[in-house]
Amino acid sequence: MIIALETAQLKVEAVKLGLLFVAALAAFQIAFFKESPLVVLRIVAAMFFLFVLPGWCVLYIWREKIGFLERAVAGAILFAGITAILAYFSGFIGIHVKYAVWIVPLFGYVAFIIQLFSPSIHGKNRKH
Amino acid sequence: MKLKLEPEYIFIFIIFTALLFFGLGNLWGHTLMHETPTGYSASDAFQHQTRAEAIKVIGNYVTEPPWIAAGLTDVIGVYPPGLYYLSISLSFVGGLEVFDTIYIIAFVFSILGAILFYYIIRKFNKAVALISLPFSVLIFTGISMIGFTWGAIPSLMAQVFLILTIWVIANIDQDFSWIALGIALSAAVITHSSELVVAAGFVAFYFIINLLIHFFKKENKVVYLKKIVFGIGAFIFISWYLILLSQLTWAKLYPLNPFDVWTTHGGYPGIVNLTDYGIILLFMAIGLLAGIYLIWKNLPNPPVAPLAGFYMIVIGYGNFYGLNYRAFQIRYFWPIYLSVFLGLGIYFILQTAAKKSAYQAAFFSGLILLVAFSGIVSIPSVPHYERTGSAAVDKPHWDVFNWLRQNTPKDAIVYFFYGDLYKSNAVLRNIERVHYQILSHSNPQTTADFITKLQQGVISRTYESALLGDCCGADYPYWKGFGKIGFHFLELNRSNFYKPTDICIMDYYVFDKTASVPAFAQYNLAIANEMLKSNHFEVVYENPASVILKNNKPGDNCIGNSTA
Repeated sequence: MIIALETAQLKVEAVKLGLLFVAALAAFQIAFFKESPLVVLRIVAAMFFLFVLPGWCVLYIWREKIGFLERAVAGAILFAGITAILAYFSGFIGIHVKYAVWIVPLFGYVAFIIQLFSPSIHGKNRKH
Repeated sequence: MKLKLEPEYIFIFIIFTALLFFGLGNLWGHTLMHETPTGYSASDAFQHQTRAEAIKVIGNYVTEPPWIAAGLTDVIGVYPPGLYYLSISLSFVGGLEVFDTIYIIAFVFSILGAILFYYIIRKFNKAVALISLPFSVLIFTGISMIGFTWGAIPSLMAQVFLILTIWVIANIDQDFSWIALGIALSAAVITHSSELVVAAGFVAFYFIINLLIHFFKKENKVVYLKKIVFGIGAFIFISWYLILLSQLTWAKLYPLNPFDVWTTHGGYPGIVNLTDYGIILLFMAIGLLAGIYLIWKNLPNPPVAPLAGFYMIVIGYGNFYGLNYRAFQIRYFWPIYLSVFLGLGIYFILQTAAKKSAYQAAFFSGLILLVAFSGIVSIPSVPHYERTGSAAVDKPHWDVFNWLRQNTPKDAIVYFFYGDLYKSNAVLRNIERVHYQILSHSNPQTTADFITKLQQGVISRTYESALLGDCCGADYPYWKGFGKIGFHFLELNRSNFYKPTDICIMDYYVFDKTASVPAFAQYNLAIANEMLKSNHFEVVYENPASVILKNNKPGDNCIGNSTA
């Protein structure tokens, strides 16, 4: 039951993420109308990969009380903070920033998986 | 699966697009990718671009690169690098140059910050939030826009994390909110330390309010108080190294003095004042009174947005009580922080006039305000957006920097003769080599020597020169021992970096062929010709802007005392 409800909610959120991506593409293309659509796509996709998606993953835990768009915006900013912190400190243990930028978003995705499969976090936040 | 397209989403989409269009879109002529840095109007702006570029090349920011530290190799990287790492990330993943991505990050996240503040307001009233949001357009005009183009972008990005901190406080009842609080505060300190003081001040302010409510109103606030304490604990755990560095350097060099009063923003063309908002101030004043009433009425759970608004007015006037010019940087974002009072003021009037349809009226008011603030329709006494001019490094000069970076040994020393562009001398760090400058605008000694010799028509082997780097922020700090930091700039003495210098010891020389004062360029070329006469110099690169000479015998006499 829990899994079925979770899957249904995830589907809705996935569609919303897709729509948000399209809306962001449209906004960027309007603001930078002289730019090639490929460059716009590259930048918007990069921002989603780096900040929006991992941020949404991290804040998925607050889905009961906070709406999708608010979580997406706050999540992007929160994950920008996480990126700055992790990328900076990874330099101290010898990880070149060119690798760190690809590794850091994975923390967001891992946080998402932990939320889905950890009964203590998952159960605590679900009403059913 | 049911998906409904809420009018609110459309409204936010319109605002986001408008802010992007008027902000970065207009500054960049509606293109995203550029051949050279575009929209950079001051040396500080290049300071950030070149440091981000350096971290991208070196791979970390443990120490400052030698070309940013006057050739010193042990200078600790103390400038808060948060914005740099974000722009590097976007550069690697998105494939654009750092000089582009650093602005994309600063502008896009500022817009997201404005939208997040909308949600903070929305938490207590959606209609007020709808009216408030369009006011944010004004962060991209006038003095506020100067914050972006003159190099205050780390402060602005840190203010986005300050807004995040306020948002977390507004949602402190959520599970694990203390972790988010720790991250938000850490993100502020890693991006610009002074905003941490403001963010921590707000957290303390909220903590004290809740503590007072707990004791005097007998409302149980223990959970909130615990979460805030845990959040501060998480912040210290994440950021202890940055806090330590900041305390040992910035706090030591620039201690806060509560009696320090600033009325001008040194070097910047102006400051944001409340009076800039014209007739809007009237609505804001009504909103301010409504805010006081709302806070009082909603005790023991006062809405966070008006609290934040009041707090940001007090911080914005911090120039009168020790926050010095940092207070002026907070004012750049007043159109975001104080938007809550505009929204409250107009909503108060709307509610009186159209009680039943106040929400619908608020929605349309938001759209009308967007049109007014964006200047599409100009209304007298209403502040509105005006396009800011955009400066760019010209292609020939950029090619000179690229040539030096790509074709000279890493330890080569480069000497720059006069160039109009080099007034913003941080742009020279793009060569990624240690460099000197004949005429440093920040050093009157070099200017006087250059002008005197030019007027006398003398070409000399020694000129007053500046050994360039980011000297004067943190004075080149280095680890002197466990927990002890020394400062090269103070210990070696300023005269070590600004002194009469034998120009014959350099490896490469850059001479600009044209200048706003033609005599400067003529003098440049006269010196270049004199060097070529010595037979151990060769022209290695030339374009319409500049010529680069290579010295094949550094240290040998390259010039005699002669007249130009």
